[in-house]
Amino acid sequence: MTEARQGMPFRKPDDEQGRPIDVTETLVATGTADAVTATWDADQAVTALYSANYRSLVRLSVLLVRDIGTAEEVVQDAFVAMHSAWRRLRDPEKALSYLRQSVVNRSRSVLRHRAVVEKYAPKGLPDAPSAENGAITELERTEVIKALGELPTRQREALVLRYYADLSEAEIASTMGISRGAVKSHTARGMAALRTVLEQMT
Amino acid sequence: MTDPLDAYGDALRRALHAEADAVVPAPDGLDRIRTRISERRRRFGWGWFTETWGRPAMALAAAAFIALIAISATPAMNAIEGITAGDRGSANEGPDRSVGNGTSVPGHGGAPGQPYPGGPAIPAPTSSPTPQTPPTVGVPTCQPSAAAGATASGSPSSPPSCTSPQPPVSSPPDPVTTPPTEPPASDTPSATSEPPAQPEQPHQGEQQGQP
Repeated sequence: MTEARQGMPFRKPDDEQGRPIDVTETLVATGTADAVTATWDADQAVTALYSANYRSLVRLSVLLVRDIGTAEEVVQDAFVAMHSAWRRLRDPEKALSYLRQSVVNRSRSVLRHRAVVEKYAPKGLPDAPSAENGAITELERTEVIKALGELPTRQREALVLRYYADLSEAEIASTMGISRGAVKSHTARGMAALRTVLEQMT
Repeated sequence: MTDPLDAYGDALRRALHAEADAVVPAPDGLDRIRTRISERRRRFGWGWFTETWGRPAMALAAAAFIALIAISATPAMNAIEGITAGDRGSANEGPDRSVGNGTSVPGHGGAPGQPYPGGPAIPAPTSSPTPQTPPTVGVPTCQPSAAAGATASGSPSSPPSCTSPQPPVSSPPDPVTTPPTEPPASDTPSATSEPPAQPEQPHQGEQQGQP
């Protein structure tokens, strides 16, 4: 349980314990967090959210767009947009949700643009960097990521948000802008498509 | 016991985390974000506003200001025009009487509803008391003018209105009553010019009727 929580990529900016963000934590914020977040201006919010969540957001975007440079640009654009829209945020406590949704939407836009570009000038995807992991081999991981990349965009988003960001169905639905039933459908279909590859891993 | 989907989910979670952990973003991300924010501020800040929307906004503000002044000044201009038109009406009363029929002018000058056609009715009461005095006084020519000058001292138009009707009124009785008292009164040119005029009219009529 503690390992799983330590592995959770998304944390609140003022959360030093690295607690995972679930539905309860998103919807019900503590009074101290409200007070701290409400007193932030846009620059402070960008700085705090960057130090807490920038890496996780970049990794989330990498899993969606499969390119580190593009993922960083996507996340930076999301931070800039959040900075300009900071005064319009009714609930600053949901700035992380705003950032996550912005990253997903921008990653989707990047993929849409990339599909158009590759349609006329096809070129290979950038190579994913290799990493050591004791649980699975590099080959298996590459196969899974490759199979994940071949999924439709909605299914890939649902799987990444579910199994990497560890979001609940309600949060995934809010982030993707779809219903919870659609989230279940996309997740089930994506897992069914990855079953053959995942069976080899298990 | 365990759901196969959970097993697949754990495998997928491990794969995703292993893939994501290999990603190390560039350390200058915050600097890039701040640079973009500053560029955006400079692009969409006050300078951008003044360059793009400043002139139209100022033009709109100036137009609204002028319209406001025009709207607010209309009643005042109407009032001023009314006052000036009343002055003109009182000033035009003399020529109207002199040009028109001479017998009805003195009576008409006592109660003018409109000093001239299309003139406002508001200034008429202000100028009406001064011409009303001559018919009440009747005979002398100098007294109405002096009285009118005393009553309507503020308005410069009252002296001409009083002097012009006097000659036709005073001229008929002047030769009848007392010629020597008239000259020292006030209106020397009108009194001198009018008495020869009336004897000439029947004379001209007779001359015109003879042929």
